[in-house]
Amino acid sequence: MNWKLKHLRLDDEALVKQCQRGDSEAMSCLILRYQDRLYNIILKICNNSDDAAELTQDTFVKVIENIGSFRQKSSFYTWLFRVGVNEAINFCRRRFNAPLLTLETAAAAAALTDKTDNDPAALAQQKEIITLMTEAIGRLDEDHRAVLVLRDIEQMSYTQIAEVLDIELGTVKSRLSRARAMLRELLETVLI
Amino acid sequence: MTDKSKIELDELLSGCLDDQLTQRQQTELKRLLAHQPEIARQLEALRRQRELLGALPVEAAPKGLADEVKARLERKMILGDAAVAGAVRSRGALVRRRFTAAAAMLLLPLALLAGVVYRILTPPQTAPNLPTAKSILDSDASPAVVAPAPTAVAALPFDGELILWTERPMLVAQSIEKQIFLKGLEHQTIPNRTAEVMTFQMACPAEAVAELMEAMAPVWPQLSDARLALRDADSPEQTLVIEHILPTQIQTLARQTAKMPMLAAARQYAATNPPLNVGDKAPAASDTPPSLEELSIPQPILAWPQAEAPAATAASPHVRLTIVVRRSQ
Repeated sequence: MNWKLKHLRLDDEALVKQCQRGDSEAMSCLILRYQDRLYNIILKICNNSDDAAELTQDTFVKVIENIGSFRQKSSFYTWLFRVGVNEAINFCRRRFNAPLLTLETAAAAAALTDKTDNDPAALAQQKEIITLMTEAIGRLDEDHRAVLVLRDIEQMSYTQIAEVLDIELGTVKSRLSRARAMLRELLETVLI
Repeated sequence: MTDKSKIELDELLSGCLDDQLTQRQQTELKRLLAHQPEIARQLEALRRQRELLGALPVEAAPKGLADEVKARLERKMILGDAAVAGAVRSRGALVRRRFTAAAAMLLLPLALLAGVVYRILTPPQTAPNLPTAKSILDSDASPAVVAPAPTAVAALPFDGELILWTERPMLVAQSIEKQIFLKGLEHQTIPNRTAEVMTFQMACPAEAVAELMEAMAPVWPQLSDARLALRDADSPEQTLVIEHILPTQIQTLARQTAKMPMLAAARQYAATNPPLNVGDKAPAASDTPPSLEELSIPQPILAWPQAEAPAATAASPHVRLTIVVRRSQ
């Protein structure tokens, strides 16, 4: 465990340099540092835990294979997330689309707005809200879903999102506003 | 409404949500909100939507992911279908690994043989003084509560139970859970959820608790009240209760390394804390359109960590804190 403690104190730049020199422990440390965050983003984009685990592995493999050519012009995590989000978006584009939200689930959502509910069923209902939110996010197209996840779930700044998705700042703003509006329409019964 | 004006309105509302509007856009939105209740309703829906998105649970990556990545890289390296780059694909490393494997294959049988010879040649030892079943049954030691923290670490005087009352227990609990996760404290925390109460028992370094409290500060406007009960390790029946506690005060108390100064600070807070400002709570949806001032966007519950702080070591002195989230009466 000593190597872990030693490497935990290093910043990304130092770890990347060590990794480029052939230090596999630095590589392990970079993976451990970002695996949860990356997996969580990919999971929210592709909405399947098995696919997300596979895509997270693919991302790390791809990044480590190319770390020798990484010149640190952007931060490591921006680069890592750019690769990961692109992997997830491309995967979703190839995948069969999920079914639309049904009227039944929308009606169930309407019943979840009573915040004063204090009985044991409340938690189960809240879980259903989470399910509905997740389903609704899955109904957005990949580009809008990615920008929404990066901003409203992962709390990235507009500039970070532009770097990760490799798009203009204005495109981030317009995609985000469109994504939020689409999601609001999908969840109208829950949010009113 | 035309498509163009709808897009412009969506961008205006989205910009408002992120506090990105220019002065002119703010004026425009204020005018729209004053005259069109439907737009105020849309803005409120977007705010609730963002709140729900932020409260979605954080999932941890599958265990062993790092090992799996390394295994895949090694497989690729051995199969030769990857370009030469990076640490694990160094040809020198491959040669060393093969040499090590060969050496291990030779040495392992020798080591086993040596072990057998040693056992035969050395005289039998007396049995170690192990506790008998009877001695265990006779002892009056009660089973200890399993603590999540590593054993054999120094203890600091802070040992408290923080009770948070809120009308949104699920959102508050999920925000706390997310912060625990982001601070890397999930392995030192025991969460427990029931229909009414959510608790997080943690034993971790004082600085980690202080940082968690700092990260939890945006939760406070969602609370109707907060109370900290400090336990005295020397006399467990004595508890000092601090009503209307603030996160900064908990940070101060957790960082105290001596008992007396901590108790002095705690008594001062207990005597002087005013009630929590319930007016800071997030506004609920209402029939009347709120003004722009009322629609100030709260700080996000979660902030994207720009740089990961070095984790406190397991050998740091530990404090104990139990966070309890309850629904307001």
